[in-house]
Amino acid sequence: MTTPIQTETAQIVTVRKRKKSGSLSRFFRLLWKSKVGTIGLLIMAAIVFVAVFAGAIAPHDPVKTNVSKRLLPPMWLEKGNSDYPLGTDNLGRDVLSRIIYGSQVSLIVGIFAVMLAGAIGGLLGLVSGYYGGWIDAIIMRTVDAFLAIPSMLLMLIILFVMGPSLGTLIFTLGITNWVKYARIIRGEVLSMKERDFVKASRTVGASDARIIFTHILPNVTSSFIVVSTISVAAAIISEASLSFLGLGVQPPTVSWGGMLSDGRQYLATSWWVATFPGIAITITVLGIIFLGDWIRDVLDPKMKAKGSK
Amino acid sequence: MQHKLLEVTNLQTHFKTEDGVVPSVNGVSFSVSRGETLAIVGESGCGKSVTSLSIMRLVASPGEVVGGEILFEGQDLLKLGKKEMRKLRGNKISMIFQEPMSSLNPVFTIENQLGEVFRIHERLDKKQARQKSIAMLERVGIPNPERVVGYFPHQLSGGMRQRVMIAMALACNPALLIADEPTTALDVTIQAQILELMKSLNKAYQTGVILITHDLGVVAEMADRVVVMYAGEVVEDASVFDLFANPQHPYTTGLMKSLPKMDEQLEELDSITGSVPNPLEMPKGCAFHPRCPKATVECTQIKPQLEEYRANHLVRCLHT
Amino acid sequence: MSSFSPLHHRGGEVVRNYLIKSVLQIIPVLLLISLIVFILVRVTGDPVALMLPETASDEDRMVLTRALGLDQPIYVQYIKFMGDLLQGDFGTSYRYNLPALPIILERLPASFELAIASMIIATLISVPLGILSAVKRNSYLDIFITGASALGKAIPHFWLGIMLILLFAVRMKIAPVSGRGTFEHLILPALTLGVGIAAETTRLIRSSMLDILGQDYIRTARSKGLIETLVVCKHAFRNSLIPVVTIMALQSSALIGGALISETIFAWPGMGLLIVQAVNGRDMAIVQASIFVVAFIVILGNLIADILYRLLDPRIKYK
Repeated sequence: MTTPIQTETAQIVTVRKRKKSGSLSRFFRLLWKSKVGTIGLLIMAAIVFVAVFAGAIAPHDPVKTNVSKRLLPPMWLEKGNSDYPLGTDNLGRDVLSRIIYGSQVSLIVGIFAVMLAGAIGGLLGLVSGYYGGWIDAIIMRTVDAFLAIPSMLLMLIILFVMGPSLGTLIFTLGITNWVKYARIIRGEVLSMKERDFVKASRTVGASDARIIFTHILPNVTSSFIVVSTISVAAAIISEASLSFLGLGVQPPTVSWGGMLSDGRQYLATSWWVATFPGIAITITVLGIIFLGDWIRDVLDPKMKAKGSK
Repeated sequence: MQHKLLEVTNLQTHFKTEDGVVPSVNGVSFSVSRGETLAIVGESGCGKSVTSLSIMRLVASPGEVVGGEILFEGQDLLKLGKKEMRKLRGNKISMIFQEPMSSLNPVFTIENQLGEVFRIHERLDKKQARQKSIAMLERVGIPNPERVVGYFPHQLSGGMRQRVMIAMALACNPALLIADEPTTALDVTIQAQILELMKSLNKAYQTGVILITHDLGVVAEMADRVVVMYAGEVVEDASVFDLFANPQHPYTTGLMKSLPKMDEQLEELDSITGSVPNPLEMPKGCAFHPRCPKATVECTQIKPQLEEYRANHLVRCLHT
Repeated sequence: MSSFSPLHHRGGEVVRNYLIKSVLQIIPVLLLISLIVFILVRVTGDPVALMLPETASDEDRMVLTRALGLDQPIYVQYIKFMGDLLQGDFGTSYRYNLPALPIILERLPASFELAIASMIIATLISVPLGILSAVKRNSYLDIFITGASALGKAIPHFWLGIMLILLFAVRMKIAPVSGRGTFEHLILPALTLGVGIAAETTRLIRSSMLDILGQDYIRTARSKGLIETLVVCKHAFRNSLIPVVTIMALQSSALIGGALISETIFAWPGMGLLIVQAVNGRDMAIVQASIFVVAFIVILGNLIADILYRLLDPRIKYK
């Protein structure tokens, strides 16, 4: 189905691949070339740094209340105080310090929830695609059932049943987000199964475990990583939404969603309490999206040729 | 002086890629007279398709025509405004593509797509366009045109679709028809039918034809003149009789030898070894020397020019 | 001539068979959902604790346990649970003291109103921007649109809603803060929901348009001498409608998920608000019944997507 133009471009592309692939420097060359990827990486590096060294960076104790200093505006406004650069909330707690500490919850929940989802979904997708038959039918119908329930609703209900805490939040996000992994990994495994090298190892009597671990797993890693970066972003937003609804991390643990929920009541008088945590979430998620786009471009040249630049 | 139908001079079309500029077409010149069929042959990647798209000014980004002249009836196409160029396309110059399966829009009926040409170039209304579409389908040998005109492309076979494409290209009686591998995707019997159809239309309407192909059998059947391209350049330009009787460039000879002859016992396909060079790393000297059986030391150093071997026969080789 | 295949599809009977088959495929999915709900509610948690207010006495708990049949083996419980469901009994809301299903259905019109308004906003934003971005690929406009859609994806819905309230209701006072009734009430919640969906679909429309603009038939259209607007708006857009409409119809799940948040922020009296209130108020019957209603709507949305896909693409026949 290729037109002459496509054939010519394809040749150019193969030429390029032959020249540059296989070197680690290619990754960094591409990263440097992609400004968006660089920005994403810088944002994420900054946020991880802030989360890890929160104790050293934060000017105040994030949970210490100070009623005499409640609802102070940010420093650049009238009545602002340079001790509290982003102002204080309804209990006189420093908004900046709370944002700094809140990054910990976002990152912990984002990363662990995705690891759990990836483990469940990856395993089920692998089994489903590899064995096929009735196992596949059951797993895929379960996927359909999960897809028919909006994940936000499912999360609400699981948290409702299990009670809100950091652990249940991670569990909930993991148990509702495995579906994406299962579908994509299953698809990859199905196409991989038809490849000659897999067929060949089967004819020489390699065990299922061996085929899965030596041939199939390494080949599905790139889709796994691509799905994972997007999922971390989705998990961080979900965490914030659930905390906002009061079903996420409970006080005194600081979370951006919880801060937003508190600040909402003071919107008319003290806009900063609800505004800054939202900006923090947006920047974090944007950083992950940028980084994710770049990772996808590097790992999956097919998708790059098709879509985003 | 009477202009030739089409005169391409020193055409250069480059693709700007991340790793550098790829000169897909690098100084190509040739001409076509009215009623003449010119074949452009070469392996895929030699720039023959890009040449044809350059004439239509349809080279897609990142490709761009960067130099040369394309005189059509004395008028330089490269200097025309977008609007004037549009008036020529599908009207006085039209094109048939290699892939009949994907060259028709899947969501519109034949009537819609074929009638469109009449509606934009002849300003016909829907009813008249339909009548002319049916007449056109009949002319290209499609049975039951009244019914077929209402079909969607997927309801037609490859051969039928290519006939529709030809009908579309010939709708406004073009002076120049560019056919880019029109039969490659079709099976042999359909191929012969389509070629026969093109030939008869070419004779009946005195249409100039540029036939792009890699199949020398098709060339022998159809062409009056032949241009052989290699790595974005013309390496030989001769009448079809001269070329087959007296091929001069080693690449042309190689192409001829790889053509199986029906009356001979097929012993070994004497094909050309190696493949088209990487456009980013063109060999020094003659572009063909790494694959050339006659290459000498000077071929690796001196770039040969396209020179007259004798009247109406040009060759780009140091050894002629 | 054998190469012509007659027009098969669009025959009434074929369509009817297709619909019957599709509806039959829903049944196992709904069954699985019932199992998921059952496991969630009966196995992982304590339904008695969930259904009673926290102040209930031990005696109340005993009575309820027996009344619910929770002292019986688990499979007996599931059979009874399913039996009730099949009779349309999704339980009784203790808060409203009414059957759960009608309470939910009563809220549907408000939710549909919001959903439709959001989809209109999402379409009005994403279709022109997605097409423009693809046609002007790699231009500054494209970079701007792609960037804006990334930003739209990164902004949490609920925060966007709050910011809209801050800007338009609190500061500029041109829209009401919450509630339902007039057209003004609809704007902010629909915008909150619509922008999030537009961010996602703009990207998809862009990539589907890019894919289509590279197709051979687009080159054919250009070679016929069509003006670029006609090439894009007729030949390319009509083809891109196939994935775009499908994508739009498939947003029903995202739409409901977003409605949970948007309705809560704006106190929009739809199903989303009802569910969030039921979760916070521990109204088990409503929560349980709402899962089925929502799942049914999502499945219906997918079915509509599938039907639209078939209608828009003449190549596809009903199987």
